[in-house]
Parts: sequence; structure tokens; C-alpha cells
Amino acid sequence: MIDVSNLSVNFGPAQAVRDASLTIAPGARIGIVGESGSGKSMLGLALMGMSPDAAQVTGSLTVDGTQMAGASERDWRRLRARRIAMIFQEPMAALNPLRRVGDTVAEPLRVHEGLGREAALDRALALFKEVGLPDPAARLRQFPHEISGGQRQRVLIALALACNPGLLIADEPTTALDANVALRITELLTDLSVKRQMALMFISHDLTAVARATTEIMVMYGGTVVERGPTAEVLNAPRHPYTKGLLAARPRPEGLRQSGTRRRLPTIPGTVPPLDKLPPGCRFAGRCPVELPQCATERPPVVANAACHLLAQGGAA
Amino acid sequence: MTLLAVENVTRRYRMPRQSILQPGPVLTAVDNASFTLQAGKTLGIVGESGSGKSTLARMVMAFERPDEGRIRLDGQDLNALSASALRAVRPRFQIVFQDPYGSLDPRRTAGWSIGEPLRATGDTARAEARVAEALEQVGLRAADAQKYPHEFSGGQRQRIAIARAIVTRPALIVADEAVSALDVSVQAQILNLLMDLQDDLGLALLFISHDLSVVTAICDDVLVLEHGKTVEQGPAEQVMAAPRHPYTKSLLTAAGLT
Amino acid sequence: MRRLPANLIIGGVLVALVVGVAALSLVWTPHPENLMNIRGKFAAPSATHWLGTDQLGRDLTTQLMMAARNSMAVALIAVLLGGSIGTILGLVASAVGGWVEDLVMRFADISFAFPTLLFAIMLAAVFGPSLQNAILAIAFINIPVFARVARASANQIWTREYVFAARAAGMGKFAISRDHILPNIAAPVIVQATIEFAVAILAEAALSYLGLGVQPPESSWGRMLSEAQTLMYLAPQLAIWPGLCIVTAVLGFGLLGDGLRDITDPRLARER
Repeated sequence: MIDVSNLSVNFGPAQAVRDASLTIAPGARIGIVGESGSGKSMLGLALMGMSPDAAQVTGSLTVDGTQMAGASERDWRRLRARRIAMIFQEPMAALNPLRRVGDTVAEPLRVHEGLGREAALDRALALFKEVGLPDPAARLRQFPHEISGGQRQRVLIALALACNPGLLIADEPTTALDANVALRITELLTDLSVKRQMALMFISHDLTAVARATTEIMVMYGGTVVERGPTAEVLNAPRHPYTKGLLAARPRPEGLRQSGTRRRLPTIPGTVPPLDKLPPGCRFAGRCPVELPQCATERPPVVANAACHLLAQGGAA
Repeated sequence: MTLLAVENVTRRYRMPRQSILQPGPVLTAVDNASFTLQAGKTLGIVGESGSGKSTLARMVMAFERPDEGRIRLDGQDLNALSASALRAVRPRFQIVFQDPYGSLDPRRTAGWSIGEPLRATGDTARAEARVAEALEQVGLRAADAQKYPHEFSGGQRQRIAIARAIVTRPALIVADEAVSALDVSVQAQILNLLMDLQDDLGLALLFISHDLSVVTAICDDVLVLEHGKTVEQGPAEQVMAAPRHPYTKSLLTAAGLT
Repeated sequence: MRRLPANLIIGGVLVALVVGVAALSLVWTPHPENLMNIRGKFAAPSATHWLGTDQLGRDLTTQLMMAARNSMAVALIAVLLGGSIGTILGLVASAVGGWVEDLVMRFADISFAFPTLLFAIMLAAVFGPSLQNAILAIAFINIPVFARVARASANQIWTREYVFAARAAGMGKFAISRDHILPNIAAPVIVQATIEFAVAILAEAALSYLGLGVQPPESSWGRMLSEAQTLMYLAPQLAIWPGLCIVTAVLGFGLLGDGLRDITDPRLARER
């Protein structure tokens, strides 16, 4: 459905995304993980044609076979909502506080599909049922501040589904939610993707949520995809040194205490450099525990889905 | 030795009125909470939004008074102290907040902010040297004292907030979601730093978080709050391995820890 | 770098013009101040008298420049005085809270509802019309405006975590207000001061027009207007020029204040 190759998002000399390539088949569930500054959100926005004005986007991006690189805002608007929809981290910020949530969800149906008010509200009711909002008929008439954070996110999911998109991009959809609510939203997104044969792109720093929601995963660091593959495989047997470091740094309760003292967590040394100070070769150079001399200057080759000089030479990180 | 004792503390808030005829409903944010924290130990307070964990933190910091119950530090009831007596014991207990962007005054240098607790108590002898020492203890450089918050990353800002908290050599630090806003790799660095400082300085930590995996990684004991009520309390390993309350179990499941 | 908003640029240019002319009048005017020449009254614009002369043969350009200086001085003193008292009241209200805050805010509500002109006329009735009373009246109406702005902004800052950290550090309310609150509410207060400057210029013109402000022989746009009023058919330019000056100054400070608000507080910025 979507084919991206060598997509870059530049802010002057700073590269927020460098040469990202991916293919999204109908119904696929892809996770994009990474920390702040990894470029994962910029990649998501680029797929919506919503990169910031200051950004220069290069590379190829086809949607349903149509080349969208350099497409006009009008062309993008035709795709948004109907082919690609997006939900964000802050459900409160994404809802108009002065509109009843039913009207918010009905609006795209009236605009894009020319439905009348009654028909649109009927469809909104069906969508509210589909996203598991309790007492959906009453919800239609409520304002955003009258419902809980999890319910707001469900409303936004209903809004995103309104025009039956082929791909739903969820950018940190669970980050602002409590753990139990986050779990249910993750399950909802997964179910919807399966039932509707709708592709899901789940962007998150939360590895637990991504592991639950997706079958494929892309790990990003400093604007580059460092490793990709089946979700379970990458998370259980990471190969790239960054993925390894990231997974090891997660606090896991087991084995943290040995002989009465608390074990320290394995860490990745240093901090992520600013975008314009990233090394020209492998972005992870300078922080990598198994760095080779050429890493800082030469781009790593992608061998067996991991971009790493050492792995390419047959070494193990 | 018991450093902090929270005894049957209850805090209620009156909600905005919904009708002009009746007063607003009362919300019990913290309902009869009790625990003790020993010197040098770590107690985790776990709960989701609305559990009352932040209210509890504010009461321990004496920013708010409990409606019932007592909070004792070194055996002294904090709410029985006069304003000036309270300020005199403030160096004994400090706080680190969640938001590394909101917890430092954007118009003040790192050194100024770290030195604030020293100036507050008039304890300004060798202030500059002590600020420099605190910076080095949290893994920054003494020269960073001259820089402003916007010149640092989120993780570095949290280190500055920790330096401000330890500069008076407190016995207790309340960490209110102190690592929740940080990326996983930065979070690991800050957790290690807190553990190192605790071992070096003999600090007690009241570690408040919604993230059970973080809490069990750093805490000796855990207290689980749900809607202001304590639902489970005990040694971290025990709560992790054999949670008794269904709410604790649901949190463990949600965090992917079971 | 973002482009500066148009209102900021236009306002800045107009303000620079008015302030520049006022400053220039301190060291240089085309003719000596208040130099009368009855035989040369109502002169048309010429090389010696750029805008002509008034009913007493005084050079109009010179009179307008002196009036600009008086207007700026009145507005500056009044806004500084009222602004300082108001800001301090707002800071105290926010820091102390409780009944003190209620008291200050009720006082602000009451004085807010009180028209400047009425207050100035009262002062004039009791103490006689004078420039000093006009300044006091304008300063007085500024107090509630600044008290409100300062309190609202300060209440927001009091909820910031760095203020809690300062409280945890053992800092008192006065020290926190001085170290954290005041520097962080400076932007909205300065924006308000710029807007109130425009209001003060207008108030001064109105009071002088009524004879309650700048007294003869000092010059004022408002008084020039009132004097020109009876001569409207004979010499309309005598009313037009001071009128234009008032519009320029008020518009300039108003736009500058708006522009400053747009760049310092994006939330209040109008949709562009």
C-alpha cells in the first residue's frame, strides 16, 4: 500500500530522518521504536505529508502506487483521513473543547462522504460502538472534558476510522495514559487492525506496548533505521548494539538484587547528540561499546536487517 | 532508625460545586495512609493518575497539610512546626520533580538553582565549592554552574535537579515521578545515579511512580495506592512475586511483568 | 528565525518616531519655545515655519514637538507609578493568598469600574486643576490593571515546579516573589505597560483638552486641539496636526504592545 525508499527529512544541515525505507502492506502492523530525537515521529508525519514547513523532504514515497514525494497540499488532503489517518499522544489537545465529541466524529463523514447530520451521527454511533466506548449513545452528546483520558483516545480512534483508512498511524498513542488504560488502547488498536485489515503503524518509545501491538518492528536512532525485523525476534534477540543497549537499560525486576544489594542497570554511555552534531557515518558512533575505526565516518551497510559495520564483518555486537 | 513516619494521613479536597444550591462534592485524595521509611532505605509509592500519590508527596514536603493524621520527620510533627522552624528543617528533606523542563527556573543558571537551598538557610559558607561538588556528584562538571537550563538535555536537567536536592546533605529525598519523563536509556542512567548517591550519602528515598518496573528496580518496599486507598504494602520482591490485591496484579500485567 | 509580526514593526516605527521627536525637542526645536509673533499668526507652511503658525503666531512644529515631550513624560511617570504599585499589589496578593488576595482584587474591581475622567475631575475639584493631579489620576487607574495582570501571571508561576523546589529549599514568600515570580512575569507586565502607555497618552490628551491636564504655557496636543476648536473654519490645520499626533502615538504604542504580546505569549496571539 505504501512504499517508502530513501526518505530523508532535513532541517538545513540537520537530518531528522536519513534514508528511511519501508513497505507497508495492507493489514500490516509495524512498530517504530526509538527515543527522543530518533526521528520516529518525523517519519510518521512525512507519511501524512505533514512535515513541518521548515523541513525539506527528499526520496520516494508512493501511496497506492502514486508518487507522493513533492505532492501538493491538495493531493495530500485527498489521501488524509480516507487512506491514511493519524492519532496522537495528547487526546485532550486533539479535540475541540467546545464541540460535542459526536459532532467531532461526524464532521469528516459530512465533509468527505456528503452524509446528512442524522446519517453522520448514526455512523459516529456505530464507530463509538466499534471502539468500545461504554454507553456510546450518551457519549455522542458529551464534551471532551466530561470523559476520561482513555475514552478521549477512543473518540480520536473513532474519528480516525471514520473514513475507513487503509493505514492508521498512531504516534505515542499510549504515552499519556495510565498503564491499565494503555494496555486496553493497545489491544483495541491491534483488534481494529486485524478486523478491518487496516495497516497500523505504531510509533512509541514503549517497547512493551509495541511488542503487544505489532508483528514487525523498526528501531530508529539519530534519524536512521538501525535494525528491523519480526517484532518478537528483534526484541528477544537484538543484534544491533543500540537495540541491545536499549533493551538492557530497561528496568527489569528479576535479577536486580544479588546478595542483598541492588544491581545497577546497564546503560548506554553519553547522551544523544543534537541533530546537527550527529556523526556522518553510523549515527551511534561515539556511544557504541563495540565501535570500529570506520564507524564514525562511513555509513554502515545493512546486512540481514541491521545497519552495522561490525555485524557486516561477521562479528557479533 | 525511622526517618519518616506517615501516620493515618487523610487529605480531602472539595470539588467545584455542580449546583448553586449544594456545596461541591468532597474527594478523598489520600485515605488513611500509614507507612514508615528507615534512614538510607527506599520506599516506592505506586499508583496511577488520581491515586493520591502526588498529594502524598506534597504533604510529606509540607506544601500541604493533611486533614487528619501526622507526618513526622526525625520524630518531629512537620505540621506542628512554625513557619520559621519548618524552614530550618527543610535542608533535611528535598524533592526532585518529574518534569526536567519545569523544575528549573529558565532565567537562572544551574549554579544559582543548585545554590538556592544553601542561601535559603543562610548556610552560604563555601557555597560555590559545595555547588561544584554537587555538580560533580551527579556527573556534571563544575563549569556547568554557569549555564542556563536550555543549554542542557532533559537528562542533564534532571541531574541538576538532583544536585539541588543533595546540596544540603538531606536525609530524605522525595522523587516524584523523577524518571518518568525520561527516555529509557537516560532513565537507566538517572536510576543508577540515585542508587549511587543513596549508597554514598546514606539517603532515604521516597520514590513515587506510576511505573511498577522502575519501582521494583530501585525500591526496598512498595506501597500501592488506588483512589487514595492503600491496597498493598510490603517488601518489593514479595509484592512483585506474589501480589495479593487484584489491582496490583493488573498493574503488573499492564507493565508486562508477569 | 520567525518573521516579526507586522504590528510589532509598524508600532515600533511609529513609537520610535514619536519618542525620537520628543527627545529631539529637549535639545533642539526649529524655533524657540512659545515665541509669539502676533503679526505672523496663521502663517501658511513655509521654509521658516514648516507647518505654519498658530493663532498667536507660534511655530506649530515647535509646539507639537514640545507637546510630544510633555505627553511622553506624563505617560511615563503615570504608567511607571501606577504600574509599580499595581504589580507589587498583584505580587503580594498572589504570594499571600487568602483574604489579602480577595481584598486586593475587590479593590481592583472597584477602582476598575471608576472612570479616569471622573476621577481626574474630582481631584481637580478638590485640589485644583494641575498637571500633577492629572498624572496621579492616570497613575491611579493603572493600579488595578497591573494588579490583575501581575496576580494572574504570578498565580501561574506559583504552580511551577521550580517554585515548589524553592519552597522545599526553605525560601520565604518574599524571596520567591523577588527571585522567581517577578522575573518570570516581566514579559506580560511589560506588554501591559506598553498598551497602558497608549491609554495614558489618550487620557492626558483628554484631560488637557478639558483644561485639567498640562497647564499654559506648557504645550499639549489635547490643549492645542481645544484651542483650535473655536478656529476650526479659519484654520483647520491647527486641529488636524495635534489630532494626527495623538493618533500616531496611541496607534504606535497600541500596536507595539500587541506585537510584543504576540511574540512573548503565543497562546494569546491572534491566528495568522
